[in-house]
Amino acid sequence: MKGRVALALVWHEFLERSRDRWILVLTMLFVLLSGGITMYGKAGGLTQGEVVGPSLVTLSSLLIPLVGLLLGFDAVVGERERRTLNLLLSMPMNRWEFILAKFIGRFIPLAMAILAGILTAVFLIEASFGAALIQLIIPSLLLGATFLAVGIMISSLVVRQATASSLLITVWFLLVFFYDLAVLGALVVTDGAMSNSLTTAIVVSNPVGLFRITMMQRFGGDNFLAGFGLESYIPGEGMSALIWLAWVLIPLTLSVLFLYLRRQRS
Amino acid sequence: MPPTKKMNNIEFHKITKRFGKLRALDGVSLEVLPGETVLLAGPNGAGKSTLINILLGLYLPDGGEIRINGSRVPVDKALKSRMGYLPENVAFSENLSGWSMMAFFARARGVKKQRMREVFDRIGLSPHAKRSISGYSKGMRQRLALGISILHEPDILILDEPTSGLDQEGLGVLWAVMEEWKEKQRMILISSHDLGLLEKRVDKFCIIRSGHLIASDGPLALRDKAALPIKVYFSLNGEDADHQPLLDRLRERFSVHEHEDTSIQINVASDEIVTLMDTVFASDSPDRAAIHSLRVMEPELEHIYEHLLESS
Repeated sequence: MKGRVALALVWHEFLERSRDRWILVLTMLFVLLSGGITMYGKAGGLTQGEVVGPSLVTLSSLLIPLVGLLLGFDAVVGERERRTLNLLLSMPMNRWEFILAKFIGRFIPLAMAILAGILTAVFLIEASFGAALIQLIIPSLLLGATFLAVGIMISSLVVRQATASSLLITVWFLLVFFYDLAVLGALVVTDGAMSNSLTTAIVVSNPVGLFRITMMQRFGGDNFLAGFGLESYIPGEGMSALIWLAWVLIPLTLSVLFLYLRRQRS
Repeated sequence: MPPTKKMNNIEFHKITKRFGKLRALDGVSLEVLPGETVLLAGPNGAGKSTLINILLGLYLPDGGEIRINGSRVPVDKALKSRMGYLPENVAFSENLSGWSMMAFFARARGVKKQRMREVFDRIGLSPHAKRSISGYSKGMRQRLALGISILHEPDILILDEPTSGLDQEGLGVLWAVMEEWKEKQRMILISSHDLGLLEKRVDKFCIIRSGHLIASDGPLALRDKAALPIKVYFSLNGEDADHQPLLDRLRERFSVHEHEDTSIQINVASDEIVTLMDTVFASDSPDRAAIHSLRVMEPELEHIYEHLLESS
């Protein structure tokens, strides 16, 4: 049967990752924090659109990239260190099938973790605002897919799991924390000479920035971004989809390329 | 390569592979026939694993080709589906049981559960099938890996250091698998440093050094090629007996390597052994009474291997 090895690998990856204690702990953490934020918002009688939604966006933009990277970072290098990579690649399966199977098999538990966190908030919050929170699901899944793909790319590039872990932390800090700080720093250094369109383009080219801005706009309405003078530069749905697609496809393509290059060198 | 076409041989033809400036393989040619077990031997970094990786499709050769039935074949999905591979020191995920791990490979290879049960029986792990791999000993893990490599009954079985970590029971499983593959006229390619254990179970030894094939023969031919002396130990009767006449007669024709009060060791070439026996055991020989027993020691394959490596 065509693609049988890859399908078996998808199922195998899903089974194995579902039993990974780190992933279970982070899923529980995500569920507890999103539930906690929602309950806190309700108890405080605060306007949910202004508090719960943005808080969940902030939480998701921190945790989802971390879970995605954690799920991806040992996908290839882990097999290499356990000496199972050659065994898997010696089976009737192309390298792109191998990478895709790794991605899909690990995306399923990631998607389950994301859904568990967001749906916890949806069930706890007032029904009228629950529908708004559901809008978080697709961008969160895309954010997770992006960082999973980046994690797999790191995993294909290096030969030691310890190196992959260091790169994972570096990438997480760079994209989640330092990127925005760097943009802010650039604005200060240039004394505001950077145009709004350039600033927005730099912010949304980072998937975390794109996620934050898109979701803040949804929860805070058009006025939210207008306050920063950014509303007219936010990419439309088509452009956003392209950015997301690029952030998933480019790392996965590079992962396949790294594996092909390995055929030529030791 | 159609999945059902009979394989009459598999041939590495003038395989060359470079890694940067390093020439890992330099025009290596060798052939494996049905029912044949071929052992690749050589020091670390000689090129054994590179050759295996080329057959598995993990590396592309810079020159040469893989041939089956005399025709060049690509290492594609069809060929890969006919190969089974046991990697060296493989470490399967410890989150899963032995059964779950083998089930993945069974699904991937399209193998039914009945065959999985057969293989678990074969490798002696049926009572431990549902246990987590984290509780397996090194030998049990190696047996599991062996089971996975034979699950789909491949035409070509590639074993990288298969004796590693195996106890007597595990070795028995390995020998039985190798015997079955031989009987069914399938091919086995082994890479190992454990020549002593494999000596009697291998049909052809291919010795590789620095990317060159320096010998490729059966055990007998390899012994002839190395021409190492055979050691003959004479155990002598009583310390007070006069052994001098025997010693003198031996010294006339052979090189006496070691002499003590109760033993003599001489080294002879393989074509001198008949002459030695005639000399000592001729019916009129006075030396027969001085000899209590004798042992003839052929050079071990490991010594032949070291000798060939040194002289290459």
